[in-house]
Amino acid sequence: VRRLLLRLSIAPRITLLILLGVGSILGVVAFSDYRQVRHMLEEELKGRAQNLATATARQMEVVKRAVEKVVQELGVVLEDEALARDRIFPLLEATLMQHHEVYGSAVLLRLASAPGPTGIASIPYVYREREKLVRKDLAAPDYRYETYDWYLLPHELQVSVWTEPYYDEGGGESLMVTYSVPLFTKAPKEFRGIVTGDVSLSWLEAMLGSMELGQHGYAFLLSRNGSFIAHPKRDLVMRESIFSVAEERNDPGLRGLGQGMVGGASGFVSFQSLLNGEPSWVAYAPVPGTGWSLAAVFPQHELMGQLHALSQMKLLLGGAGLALLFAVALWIAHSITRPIRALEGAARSLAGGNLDVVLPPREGNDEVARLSGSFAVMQRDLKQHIVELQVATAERARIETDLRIARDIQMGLVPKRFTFDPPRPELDLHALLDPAREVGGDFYDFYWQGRDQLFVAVGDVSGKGVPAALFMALGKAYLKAFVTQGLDPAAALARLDVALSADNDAGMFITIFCGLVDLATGQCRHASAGHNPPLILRRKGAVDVLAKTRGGVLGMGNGDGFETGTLELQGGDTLFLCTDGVVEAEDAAQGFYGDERAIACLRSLAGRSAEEIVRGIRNDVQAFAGDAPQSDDITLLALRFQGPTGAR
Amino acid sequence: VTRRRTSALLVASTLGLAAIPSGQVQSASAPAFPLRLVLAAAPQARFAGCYLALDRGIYRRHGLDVMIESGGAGHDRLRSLREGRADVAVLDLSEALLARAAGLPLACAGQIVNRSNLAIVAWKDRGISKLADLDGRRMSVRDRFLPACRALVTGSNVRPVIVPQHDTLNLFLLRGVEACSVLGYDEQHLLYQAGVDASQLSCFRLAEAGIDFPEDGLYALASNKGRLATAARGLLAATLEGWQHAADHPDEALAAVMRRVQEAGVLTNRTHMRWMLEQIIPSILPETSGTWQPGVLSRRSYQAACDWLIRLELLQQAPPYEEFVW
Repeated sequence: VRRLLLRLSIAPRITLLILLGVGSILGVVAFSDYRQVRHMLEEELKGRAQNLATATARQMEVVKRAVEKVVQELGVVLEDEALARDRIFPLLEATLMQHHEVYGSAVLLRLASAPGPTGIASIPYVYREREKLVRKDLAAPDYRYETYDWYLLPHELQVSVWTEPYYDEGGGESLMVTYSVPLFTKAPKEFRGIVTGDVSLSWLEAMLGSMELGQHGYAFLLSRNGSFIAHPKRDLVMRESIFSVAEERNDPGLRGLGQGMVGGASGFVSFQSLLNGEPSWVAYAPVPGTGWSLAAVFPQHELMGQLHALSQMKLLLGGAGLALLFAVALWIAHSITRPIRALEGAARSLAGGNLDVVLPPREGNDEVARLSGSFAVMQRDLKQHIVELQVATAERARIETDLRIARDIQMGLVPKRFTFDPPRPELDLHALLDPAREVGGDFYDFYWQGRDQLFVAVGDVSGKGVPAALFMALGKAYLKAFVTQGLDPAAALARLDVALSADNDAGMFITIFCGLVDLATGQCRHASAGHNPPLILRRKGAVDVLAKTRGGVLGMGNGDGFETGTLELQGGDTLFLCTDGVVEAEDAAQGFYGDERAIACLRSLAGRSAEEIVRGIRNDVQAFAGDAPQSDDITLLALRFQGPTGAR
Repeated sequence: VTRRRTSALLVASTLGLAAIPSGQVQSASAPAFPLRLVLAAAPQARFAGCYLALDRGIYRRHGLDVMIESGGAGHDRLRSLREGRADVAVLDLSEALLARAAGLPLACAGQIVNRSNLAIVAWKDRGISKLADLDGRRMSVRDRFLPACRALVTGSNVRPVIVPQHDTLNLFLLRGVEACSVLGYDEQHLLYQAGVDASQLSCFRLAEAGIDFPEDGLYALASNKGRLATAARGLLAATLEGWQHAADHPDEALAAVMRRVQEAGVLTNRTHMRWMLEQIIPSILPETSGTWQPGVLSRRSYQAACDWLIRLELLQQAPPYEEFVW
């Protein structure tokens, strides 16, 4: 759900969440309301139904009492006087004519005069057949009155009894219940006979049918055994009991209900209609004095119809409300997100490079307005920054151009031609300057002093870049000036120190190794101003480190403590000069190239030309450093002495 | 079912009838032998085997044209036999023996219900939990069960006050008596359908007390042996076949019963009939082999019943078994 919600834009998301929230609340409220109303209606129905059941049971009781009274009165009449048989029939007929609730009535009297062991000669019985009263003698042999409950029960129990419903075959030929009153002689108390009054089940049924029990409600009557005495579903009457139905339905609850009903309880429970299986309620109450139970059944749909109508109306209103809420929420969400959308469009344009895009006007002071303000500030700052950037870029470009020029100039300051005119076969010389930046503080130089003497120098200015380059140009110019005056290397360096230390506020200094090589003899007079000593690659491959001569760095005003040393070069020896950019070159692990490696490399280059030596060393340094950036200027110079001039 | 089928076939072959195809029993062209059978009561599941034998043409296949007449209150079956209005009647063994003692020589043409389903039930809340508790209590008993019930109380040495019991149990339900006679497949279930739980009642089965009188049997006048013996054997075999079918197809049997119940307007319900069918079948087709031979009145059961009736002075002497049983 969260992923789905995140996929939506803000307005529908807000709308959906509001709808969900409000819908849930409404749902809970509606459900609780429905339950409450349903409960109220049920309670109301319960009261009404129970009253109705009780009232109906009372009506039944009234009928029952009326019948009982009729029969009891007959009994009284019969106890008082021994009526002749021919007077009993008219008495019964008169009774039935007066009391329409009585279907039939019989009188069984034991007479001493009667033949046979039973003492019963005849049982006058009058019953209704359509509109007429019919006489019958139930003592007829094929009737077997002694097997019927109307006889057996009062005879055995010696009390008045309402029978269970039965079909009076050969008698009233109808389904009926009978009220039987036993008669006794006064003293001693002996069974004398029975008077009965029948009530036909169809009459009871009609009476129950006339009860007002709503449109689809109905009543039924159970005997004390749970048999249906009256039920709108006629098949049930006499055939089924509430217990047989419970058995058929495998419904222990219904059996329990039946046991409660025949036990004389009142109640109100939900119930599956026996007519159509509909969910219903049944209210039941006993009919006093009979053991019967009257039940009034109300289909739930009838009552729930109102509730459903009410619920439908509420649902409809709720639905309409939600639809309205949806529209309003959508409108509000859109009005909130409109400036955001406008801002989003402007921001996209801004991101696309259009710094002049017009931002949506700021309305109010809410979060969106503040965001819009922030965007405006950002737009302004961006514009300013870009202008500054353009200026800075232009400046940088200019400086870069200047540096490029400066480099060209610096490169122009060192000699590039390593051949001489006329050619000097006794000499093979090559040099290389590789500044770490555009320009650097290293230099090399060489020039002739007379016909056979070549001055060579390699220097390194402290620091790098333009200041170092300028200082180097100055130093190199001074040196050449002093050397060409004929000063030997130590004296030239002393003069140079004096010249450089004047006005050297920046405190810069130069290290220099320089030497004057006499090609006629191979002798080299040299001096060093704090420079690392050169290496000599002998003709046979040995490498010697030139012994140090006294002398500090130039530019510090140390005075004239420079010493001139002498080196004898043999034919095939190579003087190799370099700056500390070589031995201090670093690899990725910040290890130094070092003297050892330089010496080893040089040794491997024995017998090679000066250029090959310079390139060989440079390449080896490059291979050592790998991808590590070059941290210092690198200057190399190799002078291979081929042999004295005279020897050639 | 398999055991029942096996035992039914066994009996049929013992009788030498059922195994014979219908054509051999009675050629198709020969007219069927008309036989009037009167049942012991109004239509109910107790006679489902007869109904199915008729409905499914099993009687006809055995060369019989059986007319079934329901019994019940007001139908004197003995009189029908005596007066020749019926050829065969369904009677209990004790009823038949007593009729014979009363001068109506009956013979047994087959025993359908081969054990007693009779029981005495009594209200537990009246303090009756064992047979001895019946002493001095009012107990209703149907006429038909009087010999068996008297045998029970005599054998147990209790003396209840016996009250006649007729078609309803209302006297018992109204506590007019504290005990009454019931058949396990019939009245006992009617009590349940009147809301009485089994837990409320003490139940004493007569068979468990050794009073195991066979119930429904097929009886005819002994004098008709010549005319009816063959047909009666066919009747028995066909009826047992009907019962076997009822056991195998209880729904069909129940439908046949309910159709007759409705036609006759008998005031009963389907649930009760289903119960009755389920309960009575094991009394006809034994669930374990060797219990009894379906359709056959055993010499042992016969002798036991005779002994009891003699002891109760209802019978002077037992008729010879060979003479009593066809």
